[in-house]
Order: sequence, then structure tokens, then C-alpha cells
Amino acid sequence: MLEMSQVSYQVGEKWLLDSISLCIQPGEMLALLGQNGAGKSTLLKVLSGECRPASGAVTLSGQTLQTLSTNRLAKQRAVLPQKSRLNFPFKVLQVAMMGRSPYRGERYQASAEVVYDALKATGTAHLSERVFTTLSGGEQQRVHLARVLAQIWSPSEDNQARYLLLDEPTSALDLIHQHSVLEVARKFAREAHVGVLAILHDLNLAAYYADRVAILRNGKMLCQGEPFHVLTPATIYQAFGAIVKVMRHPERERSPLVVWTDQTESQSIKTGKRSVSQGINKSA
Amino acid sequence: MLTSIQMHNSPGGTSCEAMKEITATHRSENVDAASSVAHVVSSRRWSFGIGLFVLLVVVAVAALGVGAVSISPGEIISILVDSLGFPLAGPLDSAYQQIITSIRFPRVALAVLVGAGLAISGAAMQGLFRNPLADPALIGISSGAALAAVAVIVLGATLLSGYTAFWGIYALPVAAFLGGLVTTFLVYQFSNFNGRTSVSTMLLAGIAINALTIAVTGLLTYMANDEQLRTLTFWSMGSLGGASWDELRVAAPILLLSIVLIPLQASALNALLLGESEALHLGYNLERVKRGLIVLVALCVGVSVSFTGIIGFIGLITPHLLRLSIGPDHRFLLPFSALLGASLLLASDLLARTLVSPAELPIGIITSLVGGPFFLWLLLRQRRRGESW
Repeated sequence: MLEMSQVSYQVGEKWLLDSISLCIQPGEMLALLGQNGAGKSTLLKVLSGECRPASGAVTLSGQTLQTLSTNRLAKQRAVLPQKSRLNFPFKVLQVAMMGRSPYRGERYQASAEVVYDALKATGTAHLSERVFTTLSGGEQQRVHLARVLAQIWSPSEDNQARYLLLDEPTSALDLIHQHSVLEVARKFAREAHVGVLAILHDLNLAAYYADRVAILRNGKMLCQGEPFHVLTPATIYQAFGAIVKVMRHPERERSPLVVWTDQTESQSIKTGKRSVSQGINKSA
Repeated sequence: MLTSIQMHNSPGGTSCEAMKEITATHRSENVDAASSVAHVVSSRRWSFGIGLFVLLVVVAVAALGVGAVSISPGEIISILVDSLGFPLAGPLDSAYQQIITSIRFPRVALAVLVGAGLAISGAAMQGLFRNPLADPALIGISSGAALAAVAVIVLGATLLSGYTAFWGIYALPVAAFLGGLVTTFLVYQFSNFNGRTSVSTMLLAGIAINALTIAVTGLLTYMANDEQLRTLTFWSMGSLGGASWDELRVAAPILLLSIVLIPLQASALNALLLGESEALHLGYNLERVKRGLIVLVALCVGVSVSFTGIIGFIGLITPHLLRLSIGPDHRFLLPFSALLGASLLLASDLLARTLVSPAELPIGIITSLVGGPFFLWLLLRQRRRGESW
């Protein structure tokens, strides 16, 4: 279990994270939502061990992150950053092969097999001999996804749980590829029993793919739970200040569908209790 | 376990089931194909490396043979083998022997080591700063060394007389070496915060401290008399003319150490090109990598500058030249930079001492005269191809 308990993080005078508790179980997919600046990326940085929390602790299978070696950590959790700039003309295969760097001394053939599977899983195997810098933004994003998948493709010797942290993995992608990336991530969670956390902006993507959803607001955890419990008009108004309607997905009983509404007409949600209680009733 | 995962390759959405089948059956073939492609690529790279080594040997033999007295390659080889303690049949010309072993060989060896050191340091700095225009001068080594050297030249007889008396003929190289190290340390300290080194702060701090040291150097130059001006002008243009066994004994171990140790960080530098957080997430101990590289580069360039003065462009151009043919992979780029840098500096030195023979041109003039236009050509070529670094 990758767990953060009572974590606060401060830059200057500003508290970017305020006593946040969150855990990710192997095999589940968790979506992290919130406004721009709510602290999602900071949370991911603390969770990945890149930043040390001011108070509270992040633990991986019970051990504090800071006590684990960077190499040990790299074999158990991979991180896909929001934006990677790579200005040097590496081949796609070389970029993906970097995902195997924690496994120093691994045979080339073994690395190549893993990397090819990962490239195939993200639909980029046909690009492997292309120069990375000449790819489109979406293709680059998927190659990076292949790199981080390759990093934790199979369990390390001691069979430790693995985690995949994705910071806005769908931001550069078109409709089909948004879904295929999340499909890959969810399949990876299920079949490889990996815990996945994805920062998303599209509430419906989160509703469709996530087992659990967590919403941040101003560095605090607003709520977390199953999509139908969390994605209600009331919480969405609190988190984003937007007035929406929540419906059932026509094909999937358990997935809510968030629909944008006219922001001036349904004032009732702000003042009256009708819509709010409706949302809560629906989720109960 | 995960071979069944298949994404849509086309917006049309190929049938997933069909793709799974294809994927499963073709996977091993693809891996074989990939690794054979990779083997071809890497064997091509290795033959490229052997080519660079042969080039270095050829240039070195030429450099040993050409001069006021020309000596044939055959004689050079017999003299070298003889001085290793394996006397060959036939008497050797003792004058030739003298020229090779005590004059040309130390100079060639110093050129090889300094060229290799400057080029490998340049490649490492470009990787560390993720900036193809970086070179060791950016972190203040050259300007700090220059400041210290100029201080010794100008103030050696007055303010620093105690220091010059103590170090004697080594006063200048020791000062240059320490000056380079101290400036680098300052730049490094400025970019260090909470145990993290910010590479971009380092770049900016380097620019500021470079400007400062250049200003103080200018002030000292203003104070200098005519004779001192001449000395410091020659120093700042670089020369391998002072090479001797005594210098080689001091410089060689430090330069060799850097040249051997820097390539050990090749895969970390590759990961660093993705970004600092990415390299961290891939399990590299970045602080150790950065510190190690900066110390090695400071040592290597500090020693070079202190014995030969400032020699520009080798550290900047060599890695660029190589990236054109072998790509950016540091596992090849670093050792090959050392080989090519050695050849380039050796060839420049050969030009420096033969063009206006019996006089000698400062080598820094040759490297910059050739290097500047060449770099512009590289820029234009890159722009025409629509590529960016």
C-alpha cells in the first residue's frame, strides 16, 4: 500500500498541502481531481518521494519513502510527469529503454522484450526506430508512458507491490488516445496488480475509469470515495465552482456522467437546497 | 502477463481481438528484429570508435614526426619501442631519440590528454545542463583560472611575492588551478539550496560570476606593465609549448582519472536529458551524480587550463560533431569525445607549430579560428534541416 498520512507541504508561507491522507491499493485505479492550483501535482511530487513533506509521512508497504534507496524506489513506483522536454535526438526505442535503468546488469535481450511489450501496449511499437524529437506531442506522451510502464513491468525479485503515478497523462491526447491511455493504465492495474494514481481534468474520464476518486481543494482533501459518491453536483460545485448535473452513464450502471449546465439558470444550487440534496440522495 | 494489452493504432480503432492475436504471435519476432537492429547499430558504433582510435594514432605519429627535423614513422616506432625497454635490432639516431623522447613525446601526450579532457568535460557539461551550448567555461572554471593567473602575473612581484617565492615555476599553474576550483565551488554553492542543486540557477550564477571575474581580470590587466601584458596575452591564448615530462607527471594522473571516471555516469546523463525529476524517478542518485561530475570536470579543466592556458571550442564542438554521426547516447558520446578531442587538439597543435615555423602560433587562436566558423556552419545546417537541439 502506498499511503500518505496527515501530510502537509509548505513553500514559503503558503501551505500547498494541508494534512492530506490518501492511500493507493495495488490493483486499484485512483483518479485525483481538482482545480488548477489545488495541489494535485504537489501531492504527486510528495507521493513519489521527489519532495519531502513538512509534516506527516509517506509510506510504501509500511516503510517511509526517505528510508528507501532511490533504486529500490524506482523498481516499485514509476512516475509520468506532466511535461517532459527532451531536446536531444534519441530514438524512441532508446527513450523507452531508459525505463529499464533501475535494472543495471539486466541482459539486453530481457530489457528489449519488456520494452517492446510496453511500446506495444501503448501503440507505439511501430515508432521504435523513429527519432523521438520528430514525433507529435501525443506520440511522445505515449512513448513516455511506455517508458514508465517498462520501469515497473514485472515485479522485482522480492515481489513487492508496484505503483504508477500519472500526472495528467491525457492532456496532449485526442479522444481515442485519451481513452486508450487510461484503458492501458486500468488494465495494467488489474492484470499486473499495480496501484495507479492519475491526475485528470476530465471528470467523465475519471468517472469512467477510476475505482475511486479523490478531489482536492486549496490543498485540502475535499472528499474521496467511489465515483458515484464523490462526483455529485454539490461536491463539484464546491471543488470547481461549476454548476453541473450528474446522470447515470447509459451503458454503465456504476459510472456517473457529469453534464455541464447553464451557469446562470440553475442558481438554485447555490442558494436553495433542492439540487444539492438531490445529488446526495442519488449517491446514497 | 501484459502482452494482451493493445491500444488503438489508428483512430478507426483496429479490432482489438485481432490485434491481440497478431501481437502475441509477432512479439518474439519483433524483439529479435529489434535486437538485431540494435546490434547492427551498436556494432556500427564500435567500428566508428575503432576508426576514431586509428585516427588518433595516425595524427599522433604525424605530430611526432613533423617539425624542424622530420622523422619517419618507422623510426618513430623503433624509438618508442626502444624506450619501452625492448631494444630493436639496428642502431638508433641518438639525436632523433632525444627529439622524440624529451621534446615531442611530452608535448603530444599533453595534447592528447588535454584534448580528451576538454572534450569529455564539454560533453558531460552539455548533458548535465541539458543544453547543447554548455561548456566547462560556463561554471566559471576558465574565468576563475584566468583571474588567478593574471593576478600572479601582475602582482607576483609585489603583493603576491611570498606566494610566487614559495611555488617558484609552478606559481602560475597552481594559481590557475586553484582559481578555477574556487570559482566553480562558488557557482555550485549559489545553486545549492536545501541539499538540491538547481541546474538553471547554476547556469545563471555561472554567468554572473564569470562577468565578475572578467571585470577583475580587466582591472588587473589595466594595472599591468608592458611585459606583464605580453605574458598574460600569451597565456590567455593558450599554448602547449611548455610541455615537459615534469608537467606531464603532474597533469597526466588527474586528467586520466577524469577521463576514466566521467564515462561511468553515462546512463545517468542519458536519463538526465529527460529532466531532473525523471532521472530521479528512474532511480539515480542525482546529487551524487552532479557533485561527482562537477568535481571531475573542475579538476580536469583546471589542470588543463593551468598548464596550457585557455583553449576554446574543443569542449564545445567535439560532442556536437559526434552527435551528428552517433546520436546523443552518452555511453558512446563520452568515450568517443575523448578520442576525437585528443585528435583535434593534436592536429591544432601541429598546425600551431608548423604554420609560421620556426615561430609558433598560440593554439587557442587556431582552435577558435577553425572552431568558430565551423560551429556557425553546424547551426545553419541544423536550421536548414528544421531540427532543433
